[in-house]
Amino acid sequence: MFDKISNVDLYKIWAPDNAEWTAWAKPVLFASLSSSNSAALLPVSDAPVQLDLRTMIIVDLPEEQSVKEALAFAAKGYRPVPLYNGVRGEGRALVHVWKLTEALCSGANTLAKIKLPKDAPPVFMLDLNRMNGIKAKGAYDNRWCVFPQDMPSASYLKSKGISKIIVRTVQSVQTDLERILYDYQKNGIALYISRNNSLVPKELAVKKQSFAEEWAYRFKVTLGLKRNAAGGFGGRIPDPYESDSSGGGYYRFG
Amino acid sequence: MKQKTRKDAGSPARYFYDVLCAGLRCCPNFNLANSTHAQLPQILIWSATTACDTWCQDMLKKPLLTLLQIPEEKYSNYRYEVIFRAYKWDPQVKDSNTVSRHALLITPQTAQELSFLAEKLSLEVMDMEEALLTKLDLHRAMGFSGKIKRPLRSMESYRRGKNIRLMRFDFHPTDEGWRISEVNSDVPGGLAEASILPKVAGELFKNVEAGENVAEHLLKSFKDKLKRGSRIAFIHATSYADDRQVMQFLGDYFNQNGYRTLFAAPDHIQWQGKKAYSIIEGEEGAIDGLVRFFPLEWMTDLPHDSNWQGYFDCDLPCCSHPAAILTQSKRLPLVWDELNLDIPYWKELLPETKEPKAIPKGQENWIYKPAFGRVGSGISIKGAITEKERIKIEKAARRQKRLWVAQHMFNSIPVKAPDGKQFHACLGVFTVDGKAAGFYARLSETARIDENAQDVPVLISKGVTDVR
Repeated sequence: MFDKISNVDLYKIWAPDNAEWTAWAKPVLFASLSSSNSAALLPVSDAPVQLDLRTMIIVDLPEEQSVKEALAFAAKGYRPVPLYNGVRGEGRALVHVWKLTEALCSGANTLAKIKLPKDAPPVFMLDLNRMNGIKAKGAYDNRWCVFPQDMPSASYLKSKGISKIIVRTVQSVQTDLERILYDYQKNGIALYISRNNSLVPKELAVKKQSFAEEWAYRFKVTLGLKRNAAGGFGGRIPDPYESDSSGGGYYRFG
Repeated sequence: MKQKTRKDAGSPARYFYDVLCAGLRCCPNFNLANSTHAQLPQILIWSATTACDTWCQDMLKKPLLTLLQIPEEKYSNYRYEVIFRAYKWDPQVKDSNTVSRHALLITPQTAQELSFLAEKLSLEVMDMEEALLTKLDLHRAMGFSGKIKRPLRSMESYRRGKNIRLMRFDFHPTDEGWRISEVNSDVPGGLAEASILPKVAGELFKNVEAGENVAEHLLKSFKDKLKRGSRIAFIHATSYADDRQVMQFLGDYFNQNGYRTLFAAPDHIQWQGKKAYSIIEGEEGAIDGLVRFFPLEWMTDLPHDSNWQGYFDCDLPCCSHPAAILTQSKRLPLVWDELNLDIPYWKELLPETKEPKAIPKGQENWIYKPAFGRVGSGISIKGAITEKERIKIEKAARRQKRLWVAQHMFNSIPVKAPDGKQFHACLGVFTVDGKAAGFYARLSETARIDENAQDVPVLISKGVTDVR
């Protein structure tokens, strides 16, 4: 257990340089920490599936539950990869990240005790609450989405022998993740879903969003979650041209 | 105006003359009549070495750029350092590692030449902005929507000296010498990459130095306008970590230097008269200065009650003031002759630019750019994008002609890395209030430098460079 550990060293535990999948680990939450002095160990429960080197896991659970579940998979031989990409907010933030941050700190103690091989298959970690909340005046909108650019491509996964993905969640697959999964499915990767405490993952078929669904989604984003131009997320960036490779929504400028 | 190339100059003597003139222009206090001026010997030496260096490079047809390899055994630690010290929170995009294994080395002469050119370009940009403030009839031709044209007319309180003017000019090494592809006039990124990344990379090599620190220049400009303890809001799209990393870097730097900082979305600022106030719960109160990393043309999509028009006519130091949008449009060259200004550096360094409809279909030596495109996105360069994408862009450019521009393609000279790989480079030069303020480069395997390009530190050689 660590008396005091810097944010860089904490990140190194979650994203060691010698591991196959950790290049995708997002540093955002770690960067907001000055240091951690958590000496607690995060308890590890039992993961609902056994290790299969051809299987990738996506854990999409609320806040610290996603960390606990990822560690349960780590105990089975999977490499946890944090994909949390939301920032801490100022004042009243829509997405609470402090429990998640604490879990990453104490989870590092637990993870450091698990010996994983370099090529252990990945378990990508997402916060199910990332898109929750309704923006109100004066609130800080730190909601976020996962984009195709945040995860490996289907061809990369296949080149590493991954042929199956299990999504571990408590509800139906979130829209942003669904778009990514559709691309994986289109490229021949089998999809499964494990909800709640179900021990047997069920087959998952993701259908392509129709034109109407696409516009309904955008309508929802525009009206229900506020326009992205207000600092929120998800809507279309006003640009006369959308790149084929954008995956619909990822942008950079400057 | 016809481009004068180095080939026209021809001889080392001509080079010496040209560079000497440039050196004298760099030195504002130099008086030719005063032969005892202390800087004259240095200028002569610098001119001679630059001329010789430039001539030799031209003769060998090599760009003045070198790629250094980050030592393999040090790369892992370097990557962690880049992520945490240099605020690189997006080190991986899909299957691509965006933390380059290279550093870009330039000579002191190249650094001086680019700085000189950027300063000249920057002054011309500010002149054009002021002229465009009164030429309202040109705004439509530049691609501005009706929503943004209206507040542009209300910028009565705009004064150049009251604000902090940050820009980045993107230079490319070409077979005709340096060319610029654009100015990032409104919200240039790459601030940490220009300020910290060279320091991190510089620790790995001997006889190199980092260039100017753009954050330091911004801080100095704010210090001239706001006392320590003032509260500065850093405006950005709060849900995007990519944007927050830029603001976090700058905010932390200002915080360490005595300013109070607030990270906010554009609609967190309310306007009363010409003063700004934060409405973030728990962080309410007056704002003394603004740093905006939120493209101005997106403001028009803010909720109506956010009163975003306040940004255009405010009474506090801004970086940058919305007037910057006037020169952000890639369609600027189509109207600049109507400004009655002398802008020789822009006309020399920017490739010929035309209306898309003026270009016959299928011309491969012309590219199309969105008027408000960012980070190279949406630019059609044959060979650098798929044919499907190129056709799509050309169709869009012809259909929505006021949102696009056609530009003559330059021939980018790739830079060879020690491992034999070749990269196209784009060297961004920042200016703050018209003064050169740092370098930022991106490398791409294709001639289009876009969102897939790698950020790379720029180092300036001080002698024979080697790994530490």
